[in-house]
Amino acid sequence: MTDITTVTAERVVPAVPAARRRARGPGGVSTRVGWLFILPNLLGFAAFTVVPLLSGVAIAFTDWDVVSGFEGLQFVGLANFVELAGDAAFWGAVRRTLTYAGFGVPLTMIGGLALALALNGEVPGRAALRVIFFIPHIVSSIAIGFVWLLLLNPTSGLVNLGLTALGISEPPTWLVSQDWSLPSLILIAVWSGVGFHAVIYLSALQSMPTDLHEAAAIDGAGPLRRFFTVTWRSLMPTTTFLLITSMISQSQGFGLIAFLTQGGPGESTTTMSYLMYQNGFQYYRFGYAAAIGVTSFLGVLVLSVFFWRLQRNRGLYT
Amino acid sequence: MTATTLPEPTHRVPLRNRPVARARRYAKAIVLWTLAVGFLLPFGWMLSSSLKRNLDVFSIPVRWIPDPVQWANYADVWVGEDSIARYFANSLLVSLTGVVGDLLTSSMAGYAFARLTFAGRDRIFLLYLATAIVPTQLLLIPRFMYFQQLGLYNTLWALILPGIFTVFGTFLIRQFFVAAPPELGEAARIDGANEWQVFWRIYLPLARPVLAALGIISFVGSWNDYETPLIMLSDKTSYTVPLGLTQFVDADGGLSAGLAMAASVSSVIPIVIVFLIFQRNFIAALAHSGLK
Amino acid sequence: MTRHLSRRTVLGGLAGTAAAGALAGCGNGTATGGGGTKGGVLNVWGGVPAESGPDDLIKAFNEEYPNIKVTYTRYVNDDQGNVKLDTSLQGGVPIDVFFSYNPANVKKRSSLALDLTERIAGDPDLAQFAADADPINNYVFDGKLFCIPAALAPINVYVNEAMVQEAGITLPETWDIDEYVEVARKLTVPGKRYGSLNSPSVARATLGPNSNYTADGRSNFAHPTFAEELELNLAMQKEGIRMPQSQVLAEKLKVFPHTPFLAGRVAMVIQSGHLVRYIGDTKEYPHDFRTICMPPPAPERGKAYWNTGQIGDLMSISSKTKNEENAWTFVKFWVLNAGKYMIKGGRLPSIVGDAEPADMIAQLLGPERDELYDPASWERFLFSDELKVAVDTQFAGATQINQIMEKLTDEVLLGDRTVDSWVTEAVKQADAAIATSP
Repeated sequence: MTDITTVTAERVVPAVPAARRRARGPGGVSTRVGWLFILPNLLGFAAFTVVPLLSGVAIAFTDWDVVSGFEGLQFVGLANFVELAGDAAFWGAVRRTLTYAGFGVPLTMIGGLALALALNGEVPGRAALRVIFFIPHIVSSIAIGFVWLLLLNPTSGLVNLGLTALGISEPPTWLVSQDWSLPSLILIAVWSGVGFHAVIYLSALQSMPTDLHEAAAIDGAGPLRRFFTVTWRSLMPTTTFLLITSMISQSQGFGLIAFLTQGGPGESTTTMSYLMYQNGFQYYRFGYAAAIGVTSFLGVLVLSVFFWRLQRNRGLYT
Repeated sequence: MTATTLPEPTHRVPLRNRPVARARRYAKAIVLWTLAVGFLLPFGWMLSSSLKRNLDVFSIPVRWIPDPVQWANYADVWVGEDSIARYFANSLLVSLTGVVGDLLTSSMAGYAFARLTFAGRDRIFLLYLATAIVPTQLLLIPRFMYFQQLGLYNTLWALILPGIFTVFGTFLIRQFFVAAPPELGEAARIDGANEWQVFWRIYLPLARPVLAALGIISFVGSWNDYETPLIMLSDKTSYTVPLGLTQFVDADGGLSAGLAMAASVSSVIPIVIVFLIFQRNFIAALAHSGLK
Repeated sequence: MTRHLSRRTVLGGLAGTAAAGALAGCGNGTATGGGGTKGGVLNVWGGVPAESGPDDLIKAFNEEYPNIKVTYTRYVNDDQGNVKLDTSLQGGVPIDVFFSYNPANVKKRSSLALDLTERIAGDPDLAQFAADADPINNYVFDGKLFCIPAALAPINVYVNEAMVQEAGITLPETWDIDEYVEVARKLTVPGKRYGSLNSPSVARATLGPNSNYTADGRSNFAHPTFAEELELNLAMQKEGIRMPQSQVLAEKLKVFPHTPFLAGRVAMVIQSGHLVRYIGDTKEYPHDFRTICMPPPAPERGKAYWNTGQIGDLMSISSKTKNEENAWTFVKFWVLNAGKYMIKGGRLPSIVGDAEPADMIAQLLGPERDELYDPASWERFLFSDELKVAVDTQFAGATQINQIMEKLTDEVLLGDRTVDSWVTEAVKQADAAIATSP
């Protein structure tokens, strides 16, 4: 071991006087250094995230239309939140957001996992398959939205033409149907995201230690049992990671909605993020929009804590 | 070491070549490849529509081969004032700068949170965590107001700056470094390396995979962002690709489907090419990034 | 509260400009502008494509005022485009003059626009736009004026002449809704074309200005005409003589219905004047029939009714402009001269200026007007004494109310909501919007 250390030290830096070596420990050089390291990120974070966040929260307690400048700022206390509580449009948006995420995220993850499991074995052209499934993820969501607009056209779109060819006489009208618009968006989101999840899961699967599998097999566990006790557990961190990235990309769902359906038809695709946009940029009620944002944030926070607690003791190494 | 081994099975077909297993493999391959073709269908349709006239895009019966073939669509998309080339340039500038900045600041901060001790470390990290799930929309209007005051409204800086200082990147890197062996750093410190050198020469190189992964995720996120440019940019010349794509409406605002498809194809092909070139690196990065 | 384009207005306009022209002869401040002709750059944002009129108008402006440079930026008048304009105005992008295309937007932008009440009141050429003019021809917010309408945009029915002749129908000069439905019925060929793309208005046509509000400022959707209109819509859709709303939505035909009309998939469309832009574009949209102009059908035969179009091209001067005098010069020039240059894009001027009606029709319908249109029908409609366009004076929660109405109507037409439910929901939501509007 001494050899290695010496080699490393020689590569890194020449010998250093003893005095410097003594100034170590909490509260000393380490603290200053620590702060220096985080300073760039912390400053930017404070400036571009924390301050706007606090402002955003503050705006939720006002009645402001931005257009009239700071003079138009009026403090209204909890009035926005009270209005939210009784606003059917808001609760509808909550319901729709939960549906969208509640179906979209698991579908994408399960689809990704299934694909990864399938690709884990021997498959001809595996590398090509990986690429094919991954591409929708890196393509601009607007481009994707454009082509799906064509594909889902009720009369001239490929999807319905295919369905009628299969004998379904009155296929759904997808993006212009109140019942099918949200599912259409979920479909598009899953199609775009499943490749990314598959790739992540695949790499996790491929670096999984096989001895646990073998041990379980020797103990007589069938493939399904093995999956749940070994595979699923060891994928927990990956799953958590994908959950987080999914939540982050939820906000990109807004782009698709704004572009494809503008929250409609009716209100069927007005999720909370679209409702925020509508109240802010169409009705100029930024106080109300901020209240929606704050409520949405609190909701996600609660859910996250819940999931965190849930998985904390279910991982492989706990 | 004595090992107990089972007697070698002779004259038995290896498990993987048994007929049932083979059939299953074929079935799996067929299913996967059919799925893959289905996945590519939208892109095929995109390509086909991009060469049609606007009124032919919605025509019935459906044709895969356009007639007449409207090459002019691509000319219209690439040449002239509204050329997509400019949007590409803008997007590249924003995304690359953002990614480089993000990698730098996040790696430093992530490393510090994981490997250094300093007063307030855990409390600040908790703050980071809590704000990680804030919907960016809530931040949009305040940022708009501040950038306007700073004179950064309608500049690409309004898009780049928030992307450089992310919570996600810091979090990811911190997770990675938490699992890194402390002995390396200790050894170096004993021999007199200062903290920066420990970071830069020893730990950072270890993190190459996770940096690559973060880079990809960050780049794609920035590339695809639609809402921020929508609010922060006024000049068409500053538009990024997603916003630029929505400009392909005809002179009167109606959807110019053929042009829009040509623009979409134009935006997809470069990305796909880049991805194909680097895909082994991408996948390898994601594989070894310690995201497990 | 009414506005119509009549020979009287033509003469009135002529008189106004003639008198002003006389003044100009005296060499003192021209009739077409304020005092300032010092140089500068004006940034104008509008929704009309530059080549459909603005370029010509700006060129003419520059001939008169060579040292004021004008840059015209076009924004698409949809949701995204309007957000662009709003954020740009708010964000400090230099904009001196901007156009809005509905009064709710003007109200939204009123703190970003200059108060023009004084200027308009002090200018005899613009008397018809004053806050206390009768009939009212401008949008007044709390007694103040923030815009001048440069265009008049009535709604008319576009009818495919070939189809009418083929069906052996003779169109009356005016008609009511029953007759309209009958014609649509006769023109429908199941599986091939619909008689009509959309349905006529009942509520606003009957009620006129402020149709969405009751006298005491609450929402008016319990009025029976709203339900009647929806029933008419549903009946026509059910019978198959009107294009199903799902198709209208899927092809985004609410604002740009020209494609199915010019492709022969619908026989009639009720829309505003900008459709002529497409009808005249025979290169992109070749077609072999003439288009007849018919007035929108009357809700009740013999009774006067309102045209559901509006005064439009609402010009405002930005409150952040550094070029106020030049901006005013420009605005005034535009309003007075739109008659000459903007018509080719399908926009009728609100002041006719010194243009002749025959010239206007010629400009509106283009050089091939005899092959593409029945010009007489257009002249009859545009200069009819019966043409009244309603001008609203109440705008509480207007943007929200428009959205609410649109969403609920879509739901009814898609079969997801009953008419009764429309009424209750519309009243409830609109009242809430009015209560919480700033």
